[in-house]
Amino acid sequence: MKNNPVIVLARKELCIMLNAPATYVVSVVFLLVTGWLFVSPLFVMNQSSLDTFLSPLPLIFTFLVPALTMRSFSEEFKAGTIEYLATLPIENHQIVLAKYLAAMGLIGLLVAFTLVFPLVLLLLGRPDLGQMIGSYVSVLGLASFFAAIGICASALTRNQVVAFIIGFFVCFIFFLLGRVADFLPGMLASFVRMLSIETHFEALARGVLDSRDLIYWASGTVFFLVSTLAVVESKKWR
Amino acid sequence: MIDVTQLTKRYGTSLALDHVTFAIQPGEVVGLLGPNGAGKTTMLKMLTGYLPPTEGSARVANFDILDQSLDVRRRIGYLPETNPLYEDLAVYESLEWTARLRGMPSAAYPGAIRKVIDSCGLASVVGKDIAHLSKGFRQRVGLAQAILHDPEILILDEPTSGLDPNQQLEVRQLIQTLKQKKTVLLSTHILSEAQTACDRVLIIHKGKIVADGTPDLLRQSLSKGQRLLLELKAPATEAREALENIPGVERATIQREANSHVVLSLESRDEDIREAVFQMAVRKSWPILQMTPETFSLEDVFRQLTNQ
Repeated sequence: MKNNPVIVLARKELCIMLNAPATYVVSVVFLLVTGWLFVSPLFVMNQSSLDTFLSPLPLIFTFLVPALTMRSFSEEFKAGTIEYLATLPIENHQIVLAKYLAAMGLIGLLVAFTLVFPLVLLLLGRPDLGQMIGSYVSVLGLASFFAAIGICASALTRNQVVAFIIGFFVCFIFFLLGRVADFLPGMLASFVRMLSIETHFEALARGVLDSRDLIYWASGTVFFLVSTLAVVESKKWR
Repeated sequence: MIDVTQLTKRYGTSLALDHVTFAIQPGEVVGLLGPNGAGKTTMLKMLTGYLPPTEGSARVANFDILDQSLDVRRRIGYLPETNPLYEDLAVYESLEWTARLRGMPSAAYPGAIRKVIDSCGLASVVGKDIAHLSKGFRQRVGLAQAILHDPEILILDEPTSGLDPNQQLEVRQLIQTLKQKKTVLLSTHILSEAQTACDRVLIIHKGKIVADGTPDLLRQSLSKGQRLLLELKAPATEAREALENIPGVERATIQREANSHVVLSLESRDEDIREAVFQMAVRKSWPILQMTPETFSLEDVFRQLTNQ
């Protein structure tokens, strides 16, 4: 396990991400915004809830996750290091998986910082523990889905900014679907709502652990990771 | 060790490599020579598994480059033309990651890293970020990464490009030390490098192999005989005509004429024409002021083959 190329490469990717100043800028902005979202109702309304921090999270993640994943492949293409990686004894799917795990490691680290919020709640009152766990599963599911989208966007171009824009755009479409569904007729509305991230995010955040929600996050992640692999492989044959 | 059969690569409609066939034996150091855009880099990229061929096949260390790419990649050390490196990493970190990604056991790689740091002269920059290194040191880091796992085959794409003459010499010396144990395929623009570092040279032009042999053999076989520089005290045109009539002389070209002197360049087939030239000069009473045999350099061969 120690010498598993996926784990080794994921650690290297994480190490490179943690060496990049942009990571810290994005992380600090995220922690300030989420901190403010959690703390302001606590002082203004003397009320404490995870909802104030969780509800805007899908929108925050549409910016945050593509910003953290934008350099994943695009930087390799731009610097030419993909040639170094691709001629090491590592399979392409292992490279994609390692990039995904590294992104999830970084997002996981950021999310871990926000565990202070439920801890504060536990100190102040008796919140519903099940709902808290559901909320965090939901956050990680959303992060996983968006990380796969961000990595796929990054594999499409050698320009990080373009990768960010594509990633943000796709994530934002999934974010908007739930709202668009209200304007659509019957069957179509329920189908679009099923594809929307908000439907699944809110269900889990309420503490309802439904396998459909978990399958949604997992299948979305797998779909975009497989697409990334297809994009990386196709570049070789062009 | 490397067997290439009818290897072809097309980029859209342009043909980068055209049905190339050759074989490299274990322990050989082979230089791939050719002008820019000849197909050298494409060839090396295919042999390392980075690019798939459009047609044909190749076996490296007895493994097919397409079907057993992972086995091929385990056995080669590759220095790409652009020498891409992770700028954010320090030299030691970069070597350490390479060792681990190559699956070297954790007990073995610190020793291997120390060895390449020593052989590539990286001791003074080992803790520095790659972003802050000079071109020469970056090239050495790339080379160190390529030889770290002690591969059977080394594929080096222009290993001395961008280096100053001293650094070029160091890299060449390093290749010489590796050559006893490894098969090396390197591409280069520098003809003297091919002449000194390689046992064999492949000249590639417009995607085709146009010459294959040792540097000496190529000079002999492709120079089509000999060249003689002759200075005579004689009328220029008359001397040229008389010389062209000597059996074996292919061509006589007037290079310079001044007063009653003329300098001619004589090209002949395989035979030695010096004696016949001397006899003719005696018959005509034209004093020979200079007669120097000129050898064809690898550069002449290269120009002759790639200037079409």
